[in-house]
Amino acid sequence: MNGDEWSFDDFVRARMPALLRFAHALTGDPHTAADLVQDALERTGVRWSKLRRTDDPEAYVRRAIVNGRTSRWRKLRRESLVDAVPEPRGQADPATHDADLWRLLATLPARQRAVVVLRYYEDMSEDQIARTLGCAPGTVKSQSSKALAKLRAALADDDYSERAERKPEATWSM
Amino acid sequence: MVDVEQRLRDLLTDDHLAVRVPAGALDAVHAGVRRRRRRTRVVSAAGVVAVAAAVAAVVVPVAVGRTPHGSPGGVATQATRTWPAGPITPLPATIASPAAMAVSRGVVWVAGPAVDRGGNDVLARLDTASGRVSTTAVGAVSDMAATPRHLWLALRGCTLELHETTHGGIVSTYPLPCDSRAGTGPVVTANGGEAWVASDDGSRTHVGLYAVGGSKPVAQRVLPGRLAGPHLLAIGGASVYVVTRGRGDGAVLHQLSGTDLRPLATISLTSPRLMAYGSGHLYVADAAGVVALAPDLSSERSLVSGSVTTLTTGDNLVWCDAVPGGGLAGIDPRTGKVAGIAEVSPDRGELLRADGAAIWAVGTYPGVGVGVRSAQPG
Repeated sequence: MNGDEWSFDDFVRARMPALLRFAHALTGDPHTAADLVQDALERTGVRWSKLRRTDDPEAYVRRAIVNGRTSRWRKLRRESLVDAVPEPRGQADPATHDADLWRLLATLPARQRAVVVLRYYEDMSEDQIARTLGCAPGTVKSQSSKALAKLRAALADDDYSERAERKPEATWSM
Repeated sequence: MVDVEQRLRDLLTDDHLAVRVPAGALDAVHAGVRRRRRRTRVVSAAGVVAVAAAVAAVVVPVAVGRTPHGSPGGVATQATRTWPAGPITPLPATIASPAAMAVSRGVVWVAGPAVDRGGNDVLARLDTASGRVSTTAVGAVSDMAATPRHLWLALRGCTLELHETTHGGIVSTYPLPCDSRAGTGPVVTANGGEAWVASDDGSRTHVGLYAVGGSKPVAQRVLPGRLAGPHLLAIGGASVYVVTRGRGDGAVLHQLSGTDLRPLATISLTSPRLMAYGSGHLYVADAAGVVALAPDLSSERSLVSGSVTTLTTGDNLVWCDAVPGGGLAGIDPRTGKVAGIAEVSPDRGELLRADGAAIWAVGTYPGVGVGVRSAQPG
């Protein structure tokens, strides 16, 4: 094993948990996250000697994860016939303290979700997100704005529904 | 009301989003990098040959009615290596024929009907490092699964036996909810100190999770429909997969949580025969070929076209007998192309299992009788 492989090994050991978490936030599914991270790290490993000198390796991995997620999402949009309605997914819907928002996040288009995750999990600026996603900062801004507007509207609907469901009890009490 | 941006920060930094690093993930990454580098070198060095091979990868499968993505890769589009078969180690002549096998870390277990014991089987243990073979009498074995320290035997008499492999002997027995006259006997798969068993009671399928040291199942689940076949139970990615019969030729593939057997997802299949898990995907073989399913069953893609009779996974390859001319093809699931050919004979009834980079085969060989051989990378 040469020096390149040693440092790649260190990189994978150190960053894999964070990358898995990032991919999980991005995809909503831990299995898909593991697949994407594995694929992205393999691509990174092949180019490691170049990446470690001329680029930010982690940014490259994140970009590969996001691109892998987008292409997978395009490829895999198909319907599977089921014999019975599956029960709610355990691992795909982790017991977060904000299940409503987690569910709504899954309804965002892949690019919008990527922007949201990079902004609010990775705490990236619009310029950094634009470099990661390979698009213009203006696109990041508009995608972020659309995503937040959609989430706000959906959450407002949920709040309204909850109030509407509670209202009759209050009205009919004597 | 808390602002959505703050809620997003709270949600995305929540500890519940942490994903445990899969066991062996680091090795898998390095193996994937080496594989990709090999491919790159082959393409660079082969020049015109590589171009011709790439053309063949598209043209040949289409010519024989396969999609390019679902090719068995009979053409050498990748650095195809040969796994030559080694010498045959004969097993004691008390085994009439092999009925089940299991492999773990160089120890091969073979069970089959005894030549002179009606109704009982002989269980043979071959330590491939020393070549030492030992045998014992057991009930009629339907299936078995080995881990480095334990062997789980699913018996046709509706019993699960846990054997300790270092000193030998039965550690525990568990009754299984099944019909001993059912066509498909109970099947078992194991990992670490746990085993997952599926059994057919004549109308429904029972799935049980058993742990070393436990006196009863850790979890149980009853699924509608009978067990669809002897090779349709697999574990991987923290899930257990089992196939039950549906209407007509149909079948239902169930994904259950590997820890508590909670149902996670189901999809319909048509006449599945074999199933195996590896490299982050579930592989299912039916009459048309092999498909690779996402672990959550949300998607599938064709990996191999054509009927296969053997399916096993190991060392990031999917092994099946889909290559014209015999042998067992090791297919790289990422490219759908053949990465190696193991010189074994699934078409002659050999039972086959991958264990790391090796393929282990058990069969009845002319002039030898029941024996074991392996194919290793050449």
